[in-house]
Amino acid sequence: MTVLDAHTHPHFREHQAGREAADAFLREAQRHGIEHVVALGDVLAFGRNPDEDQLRSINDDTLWLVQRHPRRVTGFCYLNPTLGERAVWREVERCVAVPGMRGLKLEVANNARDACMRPVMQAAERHGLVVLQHAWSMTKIRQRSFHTDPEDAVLLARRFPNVRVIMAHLTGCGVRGVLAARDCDNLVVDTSGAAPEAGIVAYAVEKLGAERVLYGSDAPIRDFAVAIARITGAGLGRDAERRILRENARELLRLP
Amino acid sequence: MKVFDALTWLGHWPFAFLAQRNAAGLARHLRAHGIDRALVSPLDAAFAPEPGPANRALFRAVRGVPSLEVAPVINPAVADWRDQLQDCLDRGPVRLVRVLPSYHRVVLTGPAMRSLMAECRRRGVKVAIQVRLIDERHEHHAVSLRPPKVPALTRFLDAFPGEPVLLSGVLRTEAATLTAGRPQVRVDLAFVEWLETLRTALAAVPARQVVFASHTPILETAAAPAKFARARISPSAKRALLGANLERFLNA
Repeated sequence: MTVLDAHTHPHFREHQAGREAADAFLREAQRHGIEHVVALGDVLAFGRNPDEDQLRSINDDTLWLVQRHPRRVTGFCYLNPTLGERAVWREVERCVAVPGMRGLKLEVANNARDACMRPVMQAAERHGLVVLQHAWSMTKIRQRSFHTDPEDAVLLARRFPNVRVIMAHLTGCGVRGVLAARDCDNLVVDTSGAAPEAGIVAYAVEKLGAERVLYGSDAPIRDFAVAIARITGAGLGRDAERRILRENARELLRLP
Repeated sequence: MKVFDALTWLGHWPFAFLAQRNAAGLARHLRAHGIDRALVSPLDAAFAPEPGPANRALFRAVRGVPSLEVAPVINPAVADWRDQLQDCLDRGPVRLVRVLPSYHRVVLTGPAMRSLMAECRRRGVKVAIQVRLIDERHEHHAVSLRPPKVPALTRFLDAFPGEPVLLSGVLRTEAATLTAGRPQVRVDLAFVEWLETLRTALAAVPARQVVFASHTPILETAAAPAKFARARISPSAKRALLGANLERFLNA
């Protein structure tokens, strides 16, 4: 079964590896049957609140990779909504000019329920882009002023029902995240985040249906083999596995 | 290649929807994932006033299941820990005991822990420190605890120089820091993860100090052997990590 990974960071500056490391990253993905990845950029390379130049630098890496491997990489444009409406639109317009850029990535500059998300979502709607929103249960982290709880991601999706939203990190969002997402049809969850805690993928499929769960690894922070085993080890059946590992993301991103 | 799992549990965990299995069911489940043998500890001991009843129930449960070897939980923070240990030794062969410092508020460099280490050395029993059971960001909102930090673990290890210790449930960076210059320390792989986990781990930690661990049922069992399936490490390193290292550690 070929796999489509909806949540990766091929450029990771922690080891000063440079762009060449992204090629090795793709080869490693292919060794695990992953034919296509969504590249989100090295989103914390400059801390949680990057300025315009830093954002451009991160997105330039993604644009380079998408152009280098157009059949194997979909790019998401990383944004910092707190930089304001004009900065958001400028960066979105710059990125979507490159074929293969199909989404927007939001991290921890602000909470998804903040007013500064409006231009982001308007841009997504205008260009038909998918929005991938970082989310994690804040029960123990206590950073909700800039860090998105699953309920915040759901609220964002409800406010903009014409935009398709990926709520990242199923394992971090947990049971409460799954339940929050239940009646929000324009929102799907990806399976990335934390160690492979048992039971949560099966729970998400039971409550949301396999068609609303996407495989995502968060590699290189995580191991492709482990991330895939979260799905194949969950006892879901071949049809659900196929949907989660490939078909859902293919349809969402309108890939061939 | 025989696989020996350093970390599995039987019992109840109140904060997640985990599969409930008896000992035979656990052994079958592990076997289905290619795991031949396992150390098993009592999950109920984490929140019990003292671990004795959970240990005793586990010894009863695994009788007749030779692939499971009991690694009882000992709580040195309560006064009867010598009785706990003696009771376990009376019930069966014990090669390793597990200490849960954050769940039992154990001071790793305190007098009780020093006494436990000395007693275990005298009895030829190894000690595992369970650094974390789950990701601390995912603890239940009613539970307020943190895993011991690296400086506290360092102080503990340095308080017992040369003493063989298994650090269980460490993260990738913790494994690298805590094994550096300490060849007596072993780390398990349950929470160690990065792109190409094994190649990354072995670049930072000598292969002889790393042991396989699934952390069943808290983590997805399939994820542990998956780290090895396409790993680009030598067959001898693979064999060592999958079982030989743990066997050697327990028998040393």
